[in-house]
Parts: sequence; structure tokens; C-alpha cells
Amino acid sequence: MTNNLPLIANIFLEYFDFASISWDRVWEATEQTLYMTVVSVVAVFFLGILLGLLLYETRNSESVWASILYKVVAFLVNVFRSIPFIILIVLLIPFTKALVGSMTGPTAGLPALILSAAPFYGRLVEAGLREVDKGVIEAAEAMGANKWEVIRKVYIPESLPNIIAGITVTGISLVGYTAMAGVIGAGGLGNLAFLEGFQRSRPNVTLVSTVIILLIVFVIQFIGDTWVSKIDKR
Amino acid sequence: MITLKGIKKTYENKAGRFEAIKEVNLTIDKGEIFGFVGYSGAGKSTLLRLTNGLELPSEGTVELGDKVLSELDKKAIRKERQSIGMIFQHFNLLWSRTVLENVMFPLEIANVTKSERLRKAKELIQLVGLAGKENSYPAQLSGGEKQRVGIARALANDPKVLLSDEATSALDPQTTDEVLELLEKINRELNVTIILITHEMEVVRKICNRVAVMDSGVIVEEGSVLDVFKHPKHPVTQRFVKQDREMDTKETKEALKELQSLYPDGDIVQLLFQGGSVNVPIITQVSRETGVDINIIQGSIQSTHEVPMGTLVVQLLGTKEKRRSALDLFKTYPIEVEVLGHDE
Repeated sequence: MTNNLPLIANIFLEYFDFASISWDRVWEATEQTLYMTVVSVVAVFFLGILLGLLLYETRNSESVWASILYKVVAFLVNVFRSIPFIILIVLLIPFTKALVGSMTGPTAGLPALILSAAPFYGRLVEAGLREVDKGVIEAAEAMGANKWEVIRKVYIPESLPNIIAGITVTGISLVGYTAMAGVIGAGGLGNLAFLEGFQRSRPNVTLVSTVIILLIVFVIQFIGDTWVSKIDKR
Repeated sequence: MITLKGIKKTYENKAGRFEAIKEVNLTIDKGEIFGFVGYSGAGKSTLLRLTNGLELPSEGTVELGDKVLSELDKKAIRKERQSIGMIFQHFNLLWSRTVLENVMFPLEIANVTKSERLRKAKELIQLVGLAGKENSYPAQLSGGEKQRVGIARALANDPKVLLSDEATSALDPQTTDEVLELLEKINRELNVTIILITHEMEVVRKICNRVAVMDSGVIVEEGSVLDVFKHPKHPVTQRFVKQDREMDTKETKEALKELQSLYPDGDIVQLLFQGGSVNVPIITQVSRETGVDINIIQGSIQSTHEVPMGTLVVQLLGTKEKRRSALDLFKTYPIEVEVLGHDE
């Protein structure tokens, strides 16, 4: 037992040896992670709402074209939602290269991030839209509202808490995805933890990366929760 | 004002065909309060939605003034709906909007300017008696208040017609009366034609001028509320009218039992008066002329839109012959006589 103590102390030292961390690199990685998270969250937010509306509107439509569209979109959504993220990145490398011109760096991480999270969020939005009271829709139609007015003035505001809660959850998983993208070469805190922390055996860097990622997640959760409780008047 | 001609509505889906409306012909006049009464599934809800084009008839035409609804395109129908207000059983307010914003909603749809929207909404909130609640959210209001918001919202575009879909069915009796009074006031002061559907005969009795009783997609009886209440012909109507009276009869039955045991040789008779039609002291006269003793068990007045209707439950005491002649004499007056219980 007594022989083990110095070992544990050493492990502790390795983790908490903050002095030898190059903070410049940490900040750079943090910035990259934030960049990937923010850009992908914004893109996923708009894409997901569009997808959600598309899925919702075509789901039970009587038109043949709408139901075909629904089946196609629903199939693609299910496929992209089901591909493990790490495989999706690799799968998309040629596409990313063509689109971004490079397969490394934060921007190169974006296509995979958006493509994997937008279908997931689209389903959340669709579920939220389905919760909107049908009576309220009928009331709006009885007032003479057209489809677009019903979407803009009823569906979106009446499902906004669900839409916001959904993007909060999606945003948090996107932070996790950015870390995975980092391992492949997109940069950011995941990249830092992998290259510095793992490959060079510097657990102190890994710990710092973890703490910063946790902070980002907590901040997203806090913003989401506060926003939802502020707008939810039910 | 509103004419329904040869209306049929059939729904078809995988499960088969369903005839919601089999054949309806009807004219509703400007300024009246018209009630459709029927059990759920009778087709009244479909009929209401045909009048504002939320549903289109499978056959027949809906005429609003000089316009034929089924001939208009979608855009024109939407425009037409702006002049038809609608209120709902579950109010259907937007929880995300305040009272003021809810009332302004239809005005936004009609592209009214912001300042005019505000002015109109405030005026309507005043009219329905919700001044001071402008900035409350629906979740903070009681059922009655929510329906008032619903009414204000329905009136925002100065509609010619107000459709009421079971608007009081989710409310308690007291609140129902308040909302009905408000509807009556709107009909009187703003000259809005009101078409309502309900399964409560009480609602029809209290505010409607005319009523149509629906059963399985057809109108089985139609006429002025007073006529229908006095002489219900169709079994469904009879059931509705009876149900409406039953609120009082529960207590009457108790009293009836008691009296029957106290006076084993009495007849229990119900007399139905139509307000103002009787200028004779009937009870005294019958008692004097036939020599029966008359014991009043219960009396009640039911108000209708036009005149009150009185119900009097009495017990006739005396020999069988005397009682019979008393009953015959009652029947010579312009009242309805119904024997509720004999004792042989």
C-alpha cells in the first residue's frame, strides 16, 4: 500500500500539471471548437426547421407527390441519423474536399456535423409541430389564414419551446461530434486531447480539454433552459 | 343570408364511406340566432364547417349573401372567412400570445395596420368585459374568460356571421349563462347573425330564435324554439326537450314520491304555461268549478329568447270523476297538460 502512494501522487501531478500546458494552443483549440459548434448549430437550426416542416406537412398529405416526397425525405433522414458519426466523416471526405477544398481544419468538419445533426433535429422539430393543438390551427384557418401564415404565426410560435429545447439537445451532441471530428483532423479541443493528450501521453491537456468542453455544454444547456422557461407561457 | 341547398357530405377513406350529411336544405336569416342541436355524430359540426368553407360539400351549394361559397377559389374562400367569426368548445387560443395579441391575430391575417389593430382589439376586450386583462396569457385565465377572448377574437374583423362550435360545453352552468348573455348582447347590439351547434337544449332555449334538430346527417325537426319546445314531434327532439326539463324533475320526483305516499288518491299533473298566454286564474277556476283540491308541488320558469315558459306541478285531490273533469277543464286552456302520476 505505502509503495502505491507515490504512484497515485504522480498520476495526480500528471493531471494537474497546468504549468507545462501551452495555453495558446488550448485557446486556439477552444476557438475552433466554438466556431464549429456555433456555425453547425445555426445551420442545423434552420435546416432542421425546414426538414421538420417538410416532414410534418408531407406526412399525411393526400397528394401522391407529397407522400413520395415524405418517403424519400424520411428515408434519407433515417439513414443519416443512423450512420455513426465517425464513419460519416470518413464517408464524406471526397464530398468535403470538393466543397471546402480541404479535408482538415474546422471548416472541413462542418459538412459532416451539419449532415448528421440536421436530420436528427428535423425529427425533433416534426415531433414538436405535431404537438401543436389542432384546434388552434383550425381557428387560424377559420380566420382565413393561408398555409404560410399558419406556419409562421401558429406552428412556429406555438412549438417554439420544443424547437428551442430540441436545438439545445442537438447543440450539446454537436459539441461531442466536434470532438470526434477533431480526431479526424478538424482541429478543436477533441483534436488537442487526442494529439497532445493521448498520443503524447499528457493527461493534463486531456483534463483541460474535458473541462472546457464541459463548460461549453453547461453554457449551452443553461442558455437553452433559460430561454425555454422564458417563452413557455403554457 | 345563408342558404344551404341540397347539401350532402360524404367522407371516403380506406375504412369506407361515411355520410356525415345526407341531405340538408335550410335558410338562416340575417340577424337571427340559429341553433343546431343533436348528439355527437349527428353531422352538426360538419354542417357548421360547411358554412365557412372549412369543409366543402360533396353535393349542393352554400350561399353566403349573394356569393356561392363552393364556386369560389381557395383564396376567395379565405377572404370570405374573414367576415365569419368562429368560437370553439376548447377556445383554441394561442398560448404563446397575450389576450391582446390573440384578439389582434385575425386582424393581422386581414392585413390591418398596427395602430388600427391595437385600437380595435382594445375596444373588443372592453366589449367582452376583459378590460385590464390585455397582457395576461390564456393560461392565466378561467374558462369563461378564455371564451370571452375567443369571442372578442371572432369579432375582430366585424363579421356578419358568428359560428359557435359547442362554445359553452366546457363551461360550468354559471359561466355558460354569462357567455350566452354576451352572445345575445352581440347579436342585439352588433346585429351579428349567430349560428351555434350544441348538444345542450338549454343553450338553444335560452338564446336561439330558431332551432334545427339533427340526427344521423339529416334535420329531423326545424322551427321556432318555442314551437319545438312546446310540441316536439320527432323522438330525438322529445328526448332533448325532456332532458332539458329533467334538471328540475329530479327534485320533483322526490317530492312526487313523498306526496304520493301522503295523498294516495291524488293525480300529479304538470302544467306548462307559455308566458303571457294565460290571463285567467286557472288553478282557482278549476278548483272552484270541479270541486277538486289543488296542491302546488313545484313551480319553475324557464326563460327562452322571446318569452318565459312556466312549469307548474300540481296534485289534484278528490274523487276520480272530479279529477277527470278537472283534467278536461285544464285542457280547454291554452296550456300543456301532462299527467305525471296517478294513484289508483
